Amino acid sequence: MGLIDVKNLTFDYIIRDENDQIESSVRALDDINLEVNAGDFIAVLGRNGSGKSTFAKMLNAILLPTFGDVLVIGMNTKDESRMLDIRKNVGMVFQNPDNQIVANVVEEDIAFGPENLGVPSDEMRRRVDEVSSTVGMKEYLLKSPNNLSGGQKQRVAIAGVLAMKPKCIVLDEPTAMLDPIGRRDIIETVSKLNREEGITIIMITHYMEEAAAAKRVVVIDKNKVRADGTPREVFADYKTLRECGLDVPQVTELAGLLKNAGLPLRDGIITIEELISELKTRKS
Amino acid sequence: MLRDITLGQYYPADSVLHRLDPRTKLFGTMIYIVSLFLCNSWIAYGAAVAALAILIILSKVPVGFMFRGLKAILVLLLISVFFNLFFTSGEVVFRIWFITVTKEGIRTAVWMAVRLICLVTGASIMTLTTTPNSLTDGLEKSLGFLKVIKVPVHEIAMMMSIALRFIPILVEETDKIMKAQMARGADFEEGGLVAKAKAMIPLLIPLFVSAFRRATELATAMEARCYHGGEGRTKLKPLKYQTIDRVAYVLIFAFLVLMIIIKIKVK
Repeated sequence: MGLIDVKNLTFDYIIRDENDQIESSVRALDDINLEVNAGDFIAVLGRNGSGKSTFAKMLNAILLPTFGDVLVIGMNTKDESRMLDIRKNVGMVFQNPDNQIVANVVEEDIAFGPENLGVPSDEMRRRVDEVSSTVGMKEYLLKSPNNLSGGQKQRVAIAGVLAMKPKCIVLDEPTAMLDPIGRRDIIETVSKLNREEGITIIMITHYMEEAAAAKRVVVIDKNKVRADGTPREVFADYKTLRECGLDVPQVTELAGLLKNAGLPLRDGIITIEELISELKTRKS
Repeated sequence: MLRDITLGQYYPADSVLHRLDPRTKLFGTMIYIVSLFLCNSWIAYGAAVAALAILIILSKVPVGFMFRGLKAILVLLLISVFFNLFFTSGEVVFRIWFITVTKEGIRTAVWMAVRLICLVTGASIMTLTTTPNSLTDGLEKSLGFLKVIKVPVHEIAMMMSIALRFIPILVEETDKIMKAQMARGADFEEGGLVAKAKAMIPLLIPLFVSAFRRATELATAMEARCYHGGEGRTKLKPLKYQTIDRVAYVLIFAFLVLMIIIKIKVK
């Protein structure tokens, strides 16, 4: 059993008319099976409307499956009595940094989750100090979130989730509204959490370069899982990615083109550094 | 910068009043207002004004800030002075044409003016020395007893603090939408009242739509962080009475007793 088990997950968005009668329904997720192991760093890729955000919301009981089950450390998300336990263990960071910060002072926002869980004040103080230095926001604790940059706000949001001591963090396109610097910041923070704290990361994204930082890539398209494997394995299969409306990272594409042009490069190059070292070995 | 606007009228300083617990200040303000309505002699009004003066000095807030709040009640003040001055019967001081000014009239007019000024300034001292956040906290805690009669105190406090958080964001957004509409030829400046009001429609509709979208997202984010109402919630910084609060409570009661004694003894 993994940390999170997704079994035959199917979800329909149901549109009701004024009399609460079902008018129509749209299938958003179709028979998804996935096992997330503790310590994983998974990037979930998919184009707009592929169902990837819906998938993220299934993991901590914000949405419940129409058919199938989602089990978080053995707890079914349909079991309402375990809801807080599930949400405490699977934290969630959303796309818009402004719309997920609740309090007017950074430290109070970080404490919002633990406050809801009834953590005692002195323990809460310790946690706030600890997680704020983990994400590098310690000197901003007394500032108003309105004066922070997008990347900083997103780091506050991550700290707010960390303060609940989760086993897993789900990030739903956390960098979509950030500038390149903020984007790099967040990816570095998230990678560090995975590496040093052993927190399982599930990151929804449509940036290939971000997916390359993950240990495992899952591609969702037309409501189904289309590919699942290491970034190398997944990116090697251009054709499937193209069909799913995704591009491979630029450097992978370049390596592929060079190879087609007759340069004997190996498969599965996903970072610029790799291509450079590969080219150097060819040269010598 | 729009994002730097201060809400309420908090004036940051390091004074005894700033350090007091918000509950103490709320209670003190209430007692002060009650005592103002006990006043019916020059001595009583003198005591009220003196207390106010001491508080102003203690607060370290510039006097100019204190009296800003009075602008809002200037008209009310003038009307009350006008009616009290000219329409109180009693011992006539002087008479011009059909207007008579009586001794009682002058006295009531001055008393009313002092009472109104003290009322507004007294409340201003509280809002000037308390951040909106701690004011909300204080209200939630001291009105907690209303839960018995099913007043959703926690929910109201939560709504207030969320409103405070989102006002600057929405102000900024209004600015953005306005510029976007102006770039498309919208005109918010010219025309009469009706034309101006009509011009607000393309501004308000996108603003409302966006506010609702933000509200939905925020609600989801709050649920994801285990928010489930006020029950079982703890606080990062729970309100705690300090020694100065105890001293303040003693002084507040002493002031109330003094005012009652003045009312009984001085006629």
